[in-house]
Amino acid sequence: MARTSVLSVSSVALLCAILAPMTCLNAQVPAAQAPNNSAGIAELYGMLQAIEPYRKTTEVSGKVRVVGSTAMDTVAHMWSTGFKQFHKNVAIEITAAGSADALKQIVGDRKVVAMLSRPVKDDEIEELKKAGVQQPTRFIVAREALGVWVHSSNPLPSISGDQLRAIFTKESSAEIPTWSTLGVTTGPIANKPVKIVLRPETSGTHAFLKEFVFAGAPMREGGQILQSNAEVLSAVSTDPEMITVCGLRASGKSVRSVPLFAGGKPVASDDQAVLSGQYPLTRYLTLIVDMSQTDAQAKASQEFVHFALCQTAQLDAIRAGFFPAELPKLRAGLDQLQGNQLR
Amino acid sequence: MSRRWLLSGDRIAVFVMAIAIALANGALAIAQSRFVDSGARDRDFGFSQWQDTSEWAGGMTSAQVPEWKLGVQADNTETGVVIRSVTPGSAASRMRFEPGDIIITVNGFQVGIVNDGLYDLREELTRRADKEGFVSLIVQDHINRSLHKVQVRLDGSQSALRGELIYRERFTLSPDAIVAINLENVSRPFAVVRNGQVLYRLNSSAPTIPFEINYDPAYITPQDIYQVRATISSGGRTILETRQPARVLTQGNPNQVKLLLSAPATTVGNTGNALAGAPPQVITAGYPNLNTLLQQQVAQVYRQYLEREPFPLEWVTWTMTPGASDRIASLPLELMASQEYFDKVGNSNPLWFASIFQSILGKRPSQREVAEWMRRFAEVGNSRTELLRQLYTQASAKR
Repeated sequence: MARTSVLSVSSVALLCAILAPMTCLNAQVPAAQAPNNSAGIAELYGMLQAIEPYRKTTEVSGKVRVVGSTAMDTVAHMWSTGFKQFHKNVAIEITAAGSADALKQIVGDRKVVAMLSRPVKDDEIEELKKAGVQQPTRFIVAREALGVWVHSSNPLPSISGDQLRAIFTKESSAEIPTWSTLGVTTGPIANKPVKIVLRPETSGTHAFLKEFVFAGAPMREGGQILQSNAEVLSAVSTDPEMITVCGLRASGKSVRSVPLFAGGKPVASDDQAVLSGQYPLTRYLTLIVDMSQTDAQAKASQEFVHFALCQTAQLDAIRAGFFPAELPKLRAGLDQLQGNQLR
Repeated sequence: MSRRWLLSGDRIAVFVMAIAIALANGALAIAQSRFVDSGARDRDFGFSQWQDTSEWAGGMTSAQVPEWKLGVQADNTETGVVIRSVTPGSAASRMRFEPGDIIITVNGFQVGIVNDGLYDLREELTRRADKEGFVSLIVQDHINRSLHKVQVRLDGSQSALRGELIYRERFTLSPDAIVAINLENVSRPFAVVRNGQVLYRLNSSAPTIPFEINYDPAYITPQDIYQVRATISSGGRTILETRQPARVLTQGNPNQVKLLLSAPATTVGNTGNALAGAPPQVITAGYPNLNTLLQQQVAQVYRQYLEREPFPLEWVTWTMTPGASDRIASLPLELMASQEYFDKVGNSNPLWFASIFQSILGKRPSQREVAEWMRRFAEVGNSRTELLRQLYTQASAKR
């Protein structure tokens, strides 16, 4: 079925009526916490302004089918709403069937936009080609930042990729490290072994750690497995010996995300560091289209990807809990779609 | 990894030659400092990082820089930017650049595709050119493959909107004051103009502030109406704003304007239909372009659904959202569709559904309702957004 509903003006008014009692929009509401760090605001603003705004060069029409990641469903709907402001005669159908299904779908229908909440490997692209997708092309459209979380009383100053690997994989040692080997040499936890908690293997976070961060190294068993970010952080909040990796946008009481040691220095897990690309632990979200397809529907799909790489869509990604892709990645994507620009 | 030191295969060969050229004209020290990074190559997180944050410098400069053009159509490749054609009369044509020539660096910084990222020639020219538009390029001649270091004076952008901000109030503006000037499409607010927004810290307390917006003319549609407006905010409050934005650029309007700034109104009335659109003269506070009422609404919706304040990055996103007062109407549904909300209410479809049902209809769903809506959820391909829209539509219809 086509999913093209957009909140119309009248429905917006109705929504307001329905939600108004809950959102208490009146003058009694305390003033929003005003930020007082104008330098920080200017910096974030500058970073986002550097992303190319979308400009319609040709009008497209027809149906765009976007298939894949459930985690990207919300952001894909936002992109759909934004895209249709520019292209009135486009219908967009979004199906959240999971990242694994996305690759099957593009083999079955080479005009779809496949949506994966993870990076796509070279050999997967080769597989698609063997299956008849002539020119499968990857576009990095957003990032999810992952945090390394500990109890807020845990004094761990920062953690390196190698240390993370030693904790979560059994590649270097069957013995789990103690906190002192990570640099916590005093205090009650110094000689205690690190306790691991993670989300299940079926979660995107776990799969990403295993395949992309630890490059297939055998994961350490025996850690606690909990379903959601919220549960994982809740467990960490009760135990200063515990460590986890989960979404940086998750939040909880009595926990903190540790700076990551990269490029010879600790990198804070803040918005600036993630946006600029200095923060190293981020998971790419990917769209794939077959660039060899040239009919109207394929052109509309390609234009949808173009929109996703531009400013409005990147702001949508932030609203959906992700981060924009790094600027060079966005530009590389635009270049693959358009090429040959006047400079 | 920084592209100043991630060089592979052919590129290394090219750079050895480039450094040889630099050596020949006595500039080795400069070339070394640009291409050799003192940090160790950091692969420990297993995938790429970008440490050259100058790519993000965008609007962070003390004022917007003019855009410079070389005048070429070109293709990005992994060995540089390959010129496809040269615009007659342009800087490139004056330098006798020809199709097939490859531009390898701009002031020592690589252009083209590096480590799957694109370092765009247009951006680099604008970023690296001096005030006069001079840049230094390393170009490979397409005939004999020799490398040349050439000094080029670029063509300036002609598309500038200039003007002055004037204010009469007696203020001593604090050093952290931020000026935000926005060029907006009135006819189609969602059509953002490239380089149409300027935001910088004000380091002056003069009563007249000259400004220049070097917008991208490719984004201007003659049929549309454009306006420019400005705010000055400081210490979390907007202290000056244009009550009356000026029409500019198209439809016979000028490209030079004086904008009168005045103190914002001091109170915000209870408009009753706040979500439907804030009155244009309400005060702005804290974040530029986001009036107090909108700011309260955004914060309230985040508290309601995610039990937290918006993050600074989320705030800045709202300040940049065209038509924010319309967009906020869909924020409750957007937040209820989010992974964060899903996690918060128990990380399962039935728990999530019970929670959105309660929010939208104000009661708990019956078992039959849960079963019915879970069936619909499967029908809509497990799209939370879609299910929320259907539930909301049904709730609206009942009213």
